[in-house]
Amino acid sequence: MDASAASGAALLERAAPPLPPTNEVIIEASGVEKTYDTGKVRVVALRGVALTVRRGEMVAIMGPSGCGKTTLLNCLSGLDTIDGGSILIEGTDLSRLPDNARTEFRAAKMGFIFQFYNLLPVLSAVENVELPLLVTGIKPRGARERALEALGQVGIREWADHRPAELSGGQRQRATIARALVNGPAIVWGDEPTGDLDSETADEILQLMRALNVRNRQTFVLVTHDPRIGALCDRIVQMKDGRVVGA
Amino acid sequence: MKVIFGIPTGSIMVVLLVVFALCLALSALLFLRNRAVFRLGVRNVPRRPAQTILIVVGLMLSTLIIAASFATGDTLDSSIRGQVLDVYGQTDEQVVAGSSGTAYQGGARLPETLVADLESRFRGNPDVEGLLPVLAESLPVVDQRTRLFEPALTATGLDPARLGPFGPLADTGGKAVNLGALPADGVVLGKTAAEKLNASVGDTLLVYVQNQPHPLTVAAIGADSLLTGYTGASSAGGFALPLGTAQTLLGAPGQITRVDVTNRGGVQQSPAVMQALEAALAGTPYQAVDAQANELRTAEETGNAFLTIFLLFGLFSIAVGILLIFLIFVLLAAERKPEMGIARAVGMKRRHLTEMFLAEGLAYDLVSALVGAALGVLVAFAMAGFMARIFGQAFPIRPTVTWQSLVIAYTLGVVVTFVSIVISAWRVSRLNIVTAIRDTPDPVPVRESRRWLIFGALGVALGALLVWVGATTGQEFPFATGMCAVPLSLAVLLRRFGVPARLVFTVAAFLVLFYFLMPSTWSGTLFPHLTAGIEMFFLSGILLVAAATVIIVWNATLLTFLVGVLGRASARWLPAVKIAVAYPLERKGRTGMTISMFSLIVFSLVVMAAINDNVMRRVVGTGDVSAGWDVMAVQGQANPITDFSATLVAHGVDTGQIAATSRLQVVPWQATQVLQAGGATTGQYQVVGIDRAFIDNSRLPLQTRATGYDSDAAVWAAVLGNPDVAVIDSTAIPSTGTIRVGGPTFQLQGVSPDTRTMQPVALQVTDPLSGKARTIQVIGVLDSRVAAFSGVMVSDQTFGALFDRPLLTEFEVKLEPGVKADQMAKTIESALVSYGIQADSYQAMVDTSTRYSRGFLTIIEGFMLLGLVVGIAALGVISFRSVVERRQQIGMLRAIGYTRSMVVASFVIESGIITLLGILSGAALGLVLSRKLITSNFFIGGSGAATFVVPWGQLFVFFAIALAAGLLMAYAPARRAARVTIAEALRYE
Repeated sequence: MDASAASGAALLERAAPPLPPTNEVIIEASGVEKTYDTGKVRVVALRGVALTVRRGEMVAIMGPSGCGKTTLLNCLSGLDTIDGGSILIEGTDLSRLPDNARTEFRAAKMGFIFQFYNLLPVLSAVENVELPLLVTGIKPRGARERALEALGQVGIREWADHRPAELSGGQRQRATIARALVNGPAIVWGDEPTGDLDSETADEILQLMRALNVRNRQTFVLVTHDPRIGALCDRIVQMKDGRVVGA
Repeated sequence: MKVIFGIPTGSIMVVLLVVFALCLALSALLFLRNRAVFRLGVRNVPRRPAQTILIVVGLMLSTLIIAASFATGDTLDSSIRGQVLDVYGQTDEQVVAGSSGTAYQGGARLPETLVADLESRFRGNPDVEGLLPVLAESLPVVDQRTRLFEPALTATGLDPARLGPFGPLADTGGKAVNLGALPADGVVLGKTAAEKLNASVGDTLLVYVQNQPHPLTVAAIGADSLLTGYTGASSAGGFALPLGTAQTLLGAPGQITRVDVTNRGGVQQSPAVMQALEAALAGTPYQAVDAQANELRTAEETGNAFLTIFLLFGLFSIAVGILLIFLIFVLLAAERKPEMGIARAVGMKRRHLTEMFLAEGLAYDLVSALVGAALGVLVAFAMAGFMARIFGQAFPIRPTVTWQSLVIAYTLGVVVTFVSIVISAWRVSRLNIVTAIRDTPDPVPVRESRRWLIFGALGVALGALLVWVGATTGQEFPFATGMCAVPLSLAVLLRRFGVPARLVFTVAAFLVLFYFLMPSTWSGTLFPHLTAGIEMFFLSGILLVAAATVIIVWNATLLTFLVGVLGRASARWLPAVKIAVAYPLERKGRTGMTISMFSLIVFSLVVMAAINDNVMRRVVGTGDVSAGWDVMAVQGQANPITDFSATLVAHGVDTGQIAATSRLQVVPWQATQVLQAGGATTGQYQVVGIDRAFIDNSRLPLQTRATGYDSDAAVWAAVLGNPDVAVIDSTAIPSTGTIRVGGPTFQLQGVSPDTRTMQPVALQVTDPLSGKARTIQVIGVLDSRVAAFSGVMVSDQTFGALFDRPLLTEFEVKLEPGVKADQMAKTIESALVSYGIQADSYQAMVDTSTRYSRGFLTIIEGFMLLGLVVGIAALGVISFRSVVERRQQIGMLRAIGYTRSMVVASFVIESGIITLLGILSGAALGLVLSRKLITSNFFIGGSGAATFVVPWGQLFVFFAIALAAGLLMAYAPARRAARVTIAEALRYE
């Protein structure tokens, strides 16, 4: 474990004891339908999915490949449209918002962690992290300070000026997490956040996410195959063939 | 024979066909050796149809420019050739007085008996079909019915009995007119002359000879040709009449001015007939000239000159096209990097990757060259249309393209593109397998490989050799190439030793800029005197742009300053700007190539526009062209004027409006022989006799004067007072960068256009008609701005001693302030109609000339704008590629809060930054270099103010077009990318 990676566990230790999630519902989905039609093939990805997540909860969505986990996450987060049903985030129906308003809502309330990091290769780690702040109109100097602080939180502040190509896989994912958390989102979405990492690094990242969840009382919704994530989360939502089969 | 850069096009075509066949053979060999790899390459073509279209467009542009240049040359060649054939008809050679080698219709007479002598000599000659005695004289003519007059129609007396082989005269409807059967006063009026006089059959024409009117009747309107006195598009035409009638009219019984000869085998037999004629005329005061063949040669030379001009100016666009080919392959390689890495990992060799790209590239190449050649012809025909609008009245334009041109354009396009593809395919095959599979950037080495050491050392050695060659031969091209190769190669060498790339390349590039842009006085002190041609325009452009691009690319981090400024100015657009700046900074290669494309095109356009504008201003704006004279009145020999002012008064012209007049006696270049002392060959140059009034009332600055004369006035005083000295105009001085077609054949050696002093140069001037000769010392060169007067200028007395009579007389008229020159020209022309005076205001002549020049330059600039299409295509390719390449990143940006407009803005700003950098760099380099040229002695001729005016209006139009196109090319793909569903973009691989 490198020095920066150790900070995740340290953060967890320093954090206050886990507080139980509040009863406030932050995500409320009911009867969500989603179908992909390529012209040749018609795939029903979600079949009337209903799901409720409370503020501060850390939820894992699990299931076999092709069961609709990523589609559900994309629909819940407003990255994709739905064909039926409704999704309320903090009481707001994203599907009714115009694109710009939905984008602003996402920028203000959500953070994203992807399997392949999706950092911009031409920007340094700190520049990548400050992007969501700049988008919301925060002044460059303030954004830079907060980005550095976020990188510090995930233990890679000293790598701030390095490009993604110069970082290890774990460091890149930490930078991604810093970017997801820098604007203090209510919900952090993760799509296979440890999928591209070795088991040791994956553990560190998991510890880190849990610690942040506990400390910041942010809601985490993670799509994963990894049973260790499930074990660490407050709840596991099981999916099969586009349906929620257990929660 | 068509020639380009000194090489016959026939030879070029053969060589190109061989190289083209070799390219195809190589490709066939690759296919046979490894079909799978070949198929893999070709299979890439339909992968992305939109991208394939862009690539084909990009690759075809070089061929398009080559094809357009050749077709323009063909058009000019064919247009002039067509006119020559129309005018000369069956006349192939002419026998005229004198021994100057040209058939100048100056009116020198020959005895009619010469025809019978020649007929007896040529009876039985299989090549000569007929001989025709002709008496031609320029005369003023008035149509009594329409009251219209023409001061100089050519009366052409023809022998009806001998006219047969020359084709019968025909009226405009094609019906034969029997000249022998015309009434005694009947003439066949040429079509152009009839239009000018608005004459019809039956009209009475008053023809003035020795100031006396002679009535003639229009018996028929005939087609324009030499037989009806028409000599070309600038001719007013004339009329044909029986030889006997003409001799009576002109008071020249038994006299003719030439003998026309027609060949059985047409103009192809000219060499044989000329040989026979020269043998027959040996020892006589007469000479034979291959008139039609000579005119056809001029047509070909003009076509070649245009081909050369368009190709030279097209070189910038071709260079940009080649850069685009490299860029396309760099982008294709970037797109396929992971799959190429995997291919290498599973056993493919570098050679296979090269072959794969080669196969793909050849498929694009063969199609795009075909499209390019076809579009090139269309572009040339469009230019021909513009030319017809500008020059149409003076010069009929016939759009033409030959198969030879098409073959050359196609094969040259294929070969140029193929070579570029081979080099770029080889380059992209050299990838790092690990970084390729992971699709991460290649690591930057601290110091470069040994290959850099070898190339660097070779570059320095070659550069030094070129400097030496340039210095010893006095040629700037090798010298400049070497001077730039040395620092750039040294930079490569130093990289091997670990010196930071940014430092060495920036310093080397600054040295290149310094070499070309340092003041002329510095380079004059530092380097030997070097001669440069128009090719330096291309070389300096390429090297300056390359150097500036290197500086920009290696120091582009300064752009981050822009981000800070924008961040403070508008937080809303900062995220878009941040991304827009980051990508070009990271992708140095493609950014540099695109910047240099725009820079090259803008550079060439700016230099062209700035030099043209400044030269035009100098010609038009200063009023120096005519040395202060307002009207020129030209007169032939048939109706001489002895005292111009008195004649004006006698014919009612208000001479109170005239401040001064003077007389110039002229023998045109065709009727002279001039030999420089120590020179090997005799040339021809106009000789002008000037009077005191001309010198007293002219502004005649000299650009060079002989040692021993302390002022221009002293030189002119010597010309008037000393019968053995003369001044010559500046066009006699050989000038590099000037393409000469036809015109005077004499050039004054030993005097440079950019020096102020000279040693007197002795010339032997001979009148070929009389054989009289005189040696004259040239003691000055007239400033190039005084463009209205040309020739060897001697005193009236010297002229009279050399020539029996002038072939033309020019009267110069200076008007009182406020008098309109155009009006006075008309007044003089109509008052002196019986003298056949042709008067024009100098302003009108300058306006016409300027209109032609501007028109031609506009066509050239339009042609050069084609290069901009290449640059725009490059931006299109890059934008398209960037959108594909960054699709997942776009999804991420949208996920974290970038709105669609921000995504679009980031692409458009990125494209705008690249375009703007190209424009700014090209414009700055172009303006600095133009300023240096315009203010150098070469342009100002050692006299006059060294002012430089920037044609901002025109330049802003170019810049706006380039910028708008650049932004537009980025907008379309960016807009499409921004509309992709975020989830779909994130899934994209």
